[in-house]
Amino acid sequence: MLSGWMQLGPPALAGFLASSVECVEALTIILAVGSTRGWREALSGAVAALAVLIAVVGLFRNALQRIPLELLQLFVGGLLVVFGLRWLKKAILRSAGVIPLHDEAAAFAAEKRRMGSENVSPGWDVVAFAAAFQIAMLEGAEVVFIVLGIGAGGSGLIAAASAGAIAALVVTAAIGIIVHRPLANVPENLLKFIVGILLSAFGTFWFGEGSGISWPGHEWSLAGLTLGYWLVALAAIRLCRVTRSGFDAALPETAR
Amino acid sequence: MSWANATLKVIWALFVDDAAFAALLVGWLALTGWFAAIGLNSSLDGALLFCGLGLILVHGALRRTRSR
Repeated sequence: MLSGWMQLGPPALAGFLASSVECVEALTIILAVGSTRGWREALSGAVAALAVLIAVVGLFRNALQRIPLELLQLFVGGLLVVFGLRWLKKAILRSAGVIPLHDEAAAFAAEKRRMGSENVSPGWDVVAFAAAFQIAMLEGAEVVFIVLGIGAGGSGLIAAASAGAIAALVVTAAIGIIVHRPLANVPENLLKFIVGILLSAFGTFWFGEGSGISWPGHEWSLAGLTLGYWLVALAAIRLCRVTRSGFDAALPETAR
Repeated sequence: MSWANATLKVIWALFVDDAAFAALLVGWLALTGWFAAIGLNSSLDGALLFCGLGLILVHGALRRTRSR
Protein backbone atom coordinates (compact mmCIF):
# COMPACT_ATOMS: atom_id res chain seq x y z
CA MET A 1 0.00 0.00 0.00
CA LEU A 2 1.22 3.43 -0.82
CA SER A 3 1.52 5.72 2.13
CA GLY A 4 2.00 9.37 3.08
CA TRP A 5 2.96 11.82 0.38
CA MET A 6 3.84 8.93 -1.93
CA GLN A 7 0.14 8.10 -1.96
CA LEU A 8 -1.27 11.46 -2.95
CA GLY A 9 1.58 13.69 -4.16
CA PRO A 10 2.71 11.99 -7.41
CA PRO A 11 -0.83 11.17 -8.67
CA ALA A 12 -1.99 14.73 -7.98
CA LEU A 13 1.12 16.20 -9.64
CA ALA A 14 0.84 13.91 -12.68
CA GLY A 15 -2.88 14.72 -12.96
CA PHE A 16 -2.18 18.45 -12.70
CA LEU A 17 0.66 18.56 -15.23
CA ALA A 18 -0.99 16.26 -17.78
CA SER A 19 -4.26 18.15 -17.53
CA SER A 20 -2.48 21.51 -17.82
CA VAL A 21 -1.11 20.50 -21.23
CA GLU A 22 -4.52 19.38 -22.47
CA CYS A 23 -6.30 22.43 -21.00
CA VAL A 24 -3.87 24.84 -22.68
CA GLU A 25 -4.49 23.15 -26.06
CA ALA A 26 -8.27 23.20 -25.58
CA LEU A 27 -8.18 26.83 -24.38
CA THR A 28 -6.41 27.92 -27.59
CA ILE A 29 -9.19 26.53 -29.80
CA ILE A 30 -12.02 27.72 -27.52
CA LEU A 31 -10.52 31.24 -27.52
CA ALA A 32 -10.30 31.16 -31.33
CA VAL A 33 -13.92 29.97 -31.63
CA GLY A 34 -15.17 32.48 -29.05
CA SER A 35 -13.38 35.50 -30.50
CA THR A 36 -14.46 34.64 -34.07
CA ARG A 37 -17.99 33.28 -33.69
CA GLY A 38 -19.19 34.38 -30.25
CA TRP A 39 -18.63 33.39 -26.65
CA ARG A 40 -22.08 31.93 -25.95
CA GLU A 41 -21.63 28.91 -28.23
CA ALA A 42 -17.91 28.48 -27.48
CA LEU A 43 -18.45 28.35 -23.72
CA SER A 44 -21.63 26.24 -24.04
CA GLY A 45 -19.74 23.68 -26.14
CA ALA A 46 -16.89 23.50 -23.61
CA VAL A 47 -19.25 23.21 -20.63
CA ALA A 48 -21.35 20.51 -22.36
CA ALA A 49 -18.21 18.46 -23.08
CA LEU A 50 -17.08 18.93 -19.48
CA ALA A 51 -20.45 17.62 -18.21
CA VAL A 52 -20.19 14.54 -20.46
CA LEU A 53 -16.63 13.86 -19.28
CA ILE A 54 -17.58 14.19 -15.59
CA ALA A 55 -20.41 11.69 -16.17
CA VAL A 56 -17.96 9.30 -17.90
CA VAL A 57 -15.52 9.51 -14.96
CA GLY A 58 -18.38 8.81 -12.54
CA LEU A 59 -19.54 5.77 -14.55
CA PHE A 60 -16.03 4.36 -14.97
CA ARG A 61 -15.17 5.01 -11.33
CA ASN A 62 -18.06 2.82 -10.20
CA ALA A 63 -17.28 0.15 -12.79
CA LEU A 64 -13.57 0.10 -11.92
CA GLN A 65 -14.32 -0.54 -8.25
CA ARG A 66 -15.90 -3.89 -9.21
CA ILE A 67 -12.83 -5.17 -11.07
CA PRO A 68 -10.16 -7.06 -9.05
CA LEU A 69 -7.24 -4.70 -8.32
CA GLU A 70 -4.50 -6.88 -9.90
CA LEU A 71 -6.45 -7.24 -13.14
CA LEU A 72 -7.15 -3.52 -13.22
CA GLN A 73 -3.49 -2.65 -12.60
CA LEU A 74 -2.36 -5.06 -15.31
CA PHE A 75 -4.75 -3.73 -17.95
CA VAL A 76 -4.66 -0.02 -17.13
CA GLY A 77 -0.92 -0.13 -16.39
CA GLY A 78 -0.31 -1.61 -19.85
CA LEU A 79 -2.43 1.07 -21.50
CA LEU A 80 -0.69 3.77 -19.47
CA VAL A 81 2.73 2.49 -20.61
CA VAL A 82 1.69 2.68 -24.28
CA PHE A 83 0.09 6.10 -23.76
CA GLY A 84 2.91 7.56 -21.64
CA LEU A 85 5.76 6.31 -23.82
CA ARG A 86 3.99 7.69 -26.91
CA TRP A 87 3.96 11.12 -25.21
CA LEU A 88 7.55 10.76 -24.11
CA LYS A 89 8.73 9.71 -27.59
CA LYS A 90 7.08 12.78 -29.13
CA ALA A 91 8.62 15.05 -26.47
CA ILE A 92 12.05 13.50 -27.17
CA LEU A 93 11.64 14.07 -30.92
CA ARG A 94 10.55 17.69 -30.33
CA SER A 95 13.49 18.33 -27.97
CA ALA A 96 15.88 16.86 -30.54
CA GLY A 97 14.43 19.07 -33.28
CA VAL A 98 13.16 16.13 -35.33
CA ILE A 99 9.55 17.31 -35.25
CA PRO A 100 8.44 20.93 -34.69
CA LEU A 101 7.31 22.22 -31.31
CA HIS A 102 3.57 22.67 -30.83
CA ASP A 103 2.84 26.34 -31.55
CA GLU A 104 -0.25 27.64 -29.72
CA ALA A 105 -0.16 30.99 -31.56
CA ALA A 106 -0.16 29.19 -34.94
CA ALA A 107 -2.97 26.84 -33.83
CA PHE A 108 -4.98 29.87 -32.66
CA ALA A 109 -4.48 31.67 -35.99
CA ALA A 110 -5.36 28.55 -38.02
CA GLU A 111 -8.57 27.94 -36.04
CA LYS A 112 -9.57 31.61 -36.39
CA ARG A 113 -9.09 31.36 -40.16
CA ARG A 114 -11.12 28.14 -40.28
CA MET A 115 -13.93 29.59 -38.16
CA GLY A 116 -13.94 32.82 -40.16
CA SER A 117 -14.41 30.96 -43.44
CA GLU A 118 -17.51 29.05 -42.20
CA ASN A 119 -20.93 30.63 -42.72
CA VAL A 120 -22.62 31.98 -39.60
CA SER A 121 -26.23 30.85 -39.43
CA PRO A 122 -28.74 33.11 -37.68
CA GLY A 123 -29.66 32.10 -34.12
CA TRP A 124 -27.72 29.30 -32.46
CA ASP A 125 -24.29 28.83 -34.10
CA VAL A 126 -24.02 25.05 -34.37
CA VAL A 127 -20.55 25.16 -36.02
CA ALA A 128 -19.05 27.14 -33.13
CA PHE A 129 -20.74 24.94 -30.51
CA ALA A 130 -19.55 21.76 -32.27
CA ALA A 131 -15.97 23.04 -32.61
CA ALA A 132 -15.73 23.95 -28.91
CA PHE A 133 -17.46 20.70 -27.84
CA GLN A 134 -15.20 18.58 -30.04
CA ILE A 135 -11.90 20.05 -28.83
CA ALA A 136 -12.99 19.95 -25.19
CA MET A 137 -14.07 16.30 -25.59
CA LEU A 138 -10.88 15.34 -27.42
CA GLU A 139 -8.47 16.89 -24.94
CA GLY A 140 -10.74 15.98 -22.02
CA ALA A 141 -10.81 12.30 -23.04
CA GLU A 142 -7.04 12.22 -22.59
CA VAL A 143 -7.40 13.82 -19.16
CA VAL A 144 -10.07 11.24 -18.20
CA PHE A 145 -7.84 8.37 -19.28
CA ILE A 146 -4.87 9.81 -17.36
CA VAL A 147 -6.95 10.30 -14.20
CA LEU A 148 -8.40 6.77 -14.41
CA GLY A 149 -5.00 5.30 -15.33
CA ILE A 150 -3.18 6.94 -12.45
CA GLY A 151 -6.06 6.07 -10.14
CA ALA A 152 -5.86 2.37 -11.02
CA GLY A 153 -3.39 1.79 -8.19
CA GLY A 154 -5.92 1.82 -5.39
CA SER A 155 -8.60 3.73 -3.58
CA GLY A 156 -7.98 7.42 -3.05
CA LEU A 157 -5.67 7.78 -6.04
CA ILE A 158 -8.47 8.67 -8.47
CA ALA A 159 -9.49 11.45 -6.07
CA ALA A 160 -5.90 12.76 -5.93
CA ALA A 161 -5.47 12.63 -9.72
CA SER A 162 -8.92 14.23 -10.20
CA ALA A 163 -8.01 17.03 -7.78
CA GLY A 164 -4.86 17.68 -9.82
CA ALA A 165 -6.89 17.73 -13.06
CA ILE A 166 -9.54 20.08 -11.63
CA ALA A 167 -6.81 22.40 -10.30
CA ALA A 168 -5.26 22.50 -13.79
CA LEU A 169 -8.65 23.31 -15.34
CA VAL A 170 -9.29 26.12 -12.85
CA VAL A 171 -5.79 27.60 -13.22
CA THR A 172 -5.86 27.45 -17.04
CA ALA A 173 -9.38 28.90 -17.25
CA ALA A 174 -8.46 31.71 -14.83
CA ILE A 175 -5.32 32.58 -16.81
CA GLY A 176 -7.33 32.39 -20.05
CA ILE A 177 -9.94 34.81 -18.70
CA ILE A 178 -7.24 37.22 -17.52
CA VAL A 179 -4.93 37.24 -20.55
CA HIS A 180 -7.61 36.50 -23.19
CA ARG A 181 -5.15 35.03 -25.69
CA PRO A 182 -3.46 31.67 -26.26
CA LEU A 183 -0.93 30.65 -23.63
CA ALA A 184 1.93 30.53 -26.11
CA ASN A 185 4.60 31.05 -23.45
CA VAL A 186 3.78 27.88 -21.52
CA PRO A 187 6.76 25.50 -21.89
CA GLU A 188 4.47 22.88 -23.37
CA ASN A 189 7.13 20.44 -24.53
CA LEU A 190 8.83 20.47 -21.13
CA LEU A 191 5.45 19.71 -19.52
CA LYS A 192 4.84 16.89 -22.02
CA PHE A 193 8.32 15.55 -21.33
CA ILE A 194 7.70 15.48 -17.55
CA VAL A 195 4.19 14.05 -17.96
CA GLY A 196 5.42 11.38 -20.37
CA ILE A 197 8.02 10.31 -17.80
CA LEU A 198 5.49 10.27 -14.92
CA LEU A 199 2.83 8.35 -16.88
CA SER A 200 5.38 5.82 -18.14
CA ALA A 201 6.68 5.31 -14.58
CA PHE A 202 3.15 4.88 -13.17
CA GLY A 203 2.18 2.54 -16.02
CA THR A 204 5.28 0.39 -15.60
CA PHE A 205 4.76 0.23 -11.83
CA TRP A 206 1.06 -0.68 -12.07
CA PHE A 207 1.69 -3.24 -14.80
CA GLY A 208 4.42 -4.83 -12.68
CA GLU A 209 2.18 -4.89 -9.59
CA GLY A 210 -0.65 -6.43 -11.60
CA SER A 211 1.53 -9.11 -13.14
CA GLY A 212 3.00 -10.10 -9.77
CA ILE A 213 6.42 -8.46 -10.09
CA SER A 214 8.01 -7.77 -6.72
CA TRP A 215 9.42 -4.24 -6.95
CA PRO A 216 12.49 -3.57 -4.78
CA GLY A 217 11.61 -0.90 -2.21
CA HIS A 218 7.91 -1.28 -3.14
CA GLU A 219 6.37 2.17 -3.78
CA TRP A 220 9.84 3.78 -3.80
CA SER A 221 10.40 1.98 -7.08
CA LEU A 222 8.14 4.65 -8.60
CA ALA A 223 10.83 7.24 -7.86
CA GLY A 224 13.47 4.92 -9.33
CA LEU A 225 11.37 4.34 -12.48
CA THR A 226 10.83 8.10 -12.85
CA LEU A 227 14.57 8.74 -12.60
CA GLY A 228 15.28 5.84 -14.93
CA TYR A 229 12.91 7.08 -17.65
CA TRP A 230 14.32 10.59 -17.27
CA LEU A 231 17.87 9.32 -17.90
CA VAL A 232 16.73 7.14 -20.82
CA ALA A 233 14.88 10.11 -22.36
CA LEU A 234 17.93 12.40 -21.99
CA ALA A 235 20.09 9.75 -23.66
CA ALA A 236 17.51 9.36 -26.44
CA ILE A 237 17.47 13.13 -27.09
CA ARG A 238 21.25 13.13 -27.38
CA LEU A 239 21.26 10.12 -29.71
CA CYS A 240 18.52 11.63 -31.90
CA ARG A 241 20.43 14.94 -32.14
CA VAL A 242 23.63 13.14 -33.17
CA THR A 243 21.71 11.01 -35.71
CA ARG A 244 19.91 14.07 -37.06
CA SER A 245 23.05 16.14 -37.46
CA GLY A 246 24.74 13.17 -39.18
CA PHE A 247 21.87 12.95 -41.66
CA ASP A 248 21.85 16.72 -42.20
CA ALA A 249 25.61 16.72 -42.87
CA ALA A 250 25.23 13.89 -45.38
CA LEU A 251 22.53 15.75 -47.33
CA PRO A 252 23.61 17.73 -50.41
CA GLU A 253 23.48 21.52 -49.96
CA THR A 254 20.35 21.90 -52.13
CA ALA A 255 18.35 19.35 -50.11
CA ARG A 256 18.88 21.09 -46.74
CA MET B 1 -22.28 3.91 -37.25
CA SER B 2 -19.98 6.64 -38.57
CA TRP B 3 -20.19 8.27 -35.12
CA ALA B 4 -19.01 5.01 -33.50
CA ASN B 5 -16.21 4.66 -36.05
CA ALA B 6 -15.09 8.22 -35.43
CA THR B 7 -15.08 7.63 -31.65
CA LEU B 8 -13.07 4.42 -32.05
CA LYS B 9 -10.57 6.22 -34.28
CA VAL B 10 -10.12 8.95 -31.67
CA ILE B 11 -9.58 6.38 -28.89
CA TRP B 12 -7.14 4.42 -31.09
CA ALA B 13 -5.19 7.61 -31.85
CA LEU B 14 -4.80 8.27 -28.12
CA PHE B 15 -2.52 5.24 -27.91
CA VAL B 16 -1.17 4.58 -31.38
CA ASP B 17 0.49 6.94 -33.82
CA ASP B 18 3.32 4.56 -34.66
CA ALA B 19 1.94 1.01 -35.01
CA ALA B 20 5.35 -0.70 -34.86
CA PHE B 21 6.29 1.18 -31.67
CA ALA B 22 2.97 0.31 -30.01
CA ALA B 23 3.23 -3.35 -31.13
CA LEU B 24 6.74 -3.66 -29.67
CA LEU B 25 5.57 -2.18 -26.36
CA VAL B 26 2.55 -4.50 -26.15
CA GLY B 27 4.72 -7.49 -27.14
CA TRP B 28 7.28 -6.71 -24.45
CA LEU B 29 4.57 -6.20 -21.81
CA ALA B 30 3.04 -9.56 -22.76
CA LEU B 31 6.41 -11.32 -22.61
CA THR B 32 7.48 -9.88 -19.24
CA GLY B 33 3.97 -10.45 -17.86
CA TRP B 34 4.26 -14.07 -18.90
CA PHE B 35 7.76 -14.35 -17.33
CA ALA B 36 6.33 -13.00 -14.07
CA ALA B 37 3.36 -15.39 -14.26
CA ILE B 38 5.58 -18.47 -14.62
CA GLY B 39 8.05 -17.21 -12.00
CA LEU B 40 11.05 -16.95 -14.34
CA ASN B 41 13.87 -14.65 -13.10
CA SER B 42 11.54 -13.30 -10.44
CA SER B 43 14.18 -11.04 -8.83
CA LEU B 44 14.94 -9.38 -12.17
CA ASP B 45 11.43 -9.09 -13.61
CA GLY B 46 11.07 -5.38 -12.76
CA ALA B 47 14.48 -4.47 -14.19
CA LEU B 48 13.77 -6.57 -17.29
CA LEU B 49 10.43 -4.83 -17.83
CA PHE B 50 11.94 -1.34 -17.47
CA CYS B 51 15.07 -2.01 -19.58
CA GLY B 52 13.03 -3.47 -22.43
CA LEU B 53 10.62 -0.53 -22.44
CA GLY B 54 13.53 1.93 -22.29
CA LEU B 55 15.24 0.26 -25.25
CA ILE B 56 12.01 0.26 -27.28
CA LEU B 57 11.62 3.98 -26.51
CA VAL B 58 15.16 4.80 -27.71
CA HIS B 59 14.77 2.54 -30.76
CA GLY B 60 11.41 4.14 -31.66
CA ALA B 61 12.80 7.68 -31.36
CA LEU B 62 15.89 6.84 -33.43
CA ARG B 63 13.83 5.05 -36.10
CA ARG B 64 11.62 8.14 -36.42
CA THR B 65 14.70 10.39 -36.62
CA ARG B 66 16.20 8.29 -39.44
CA SER B 67 12.94 8.22 -41.40
CA ARG B 68 12.63 12.03 -41.31
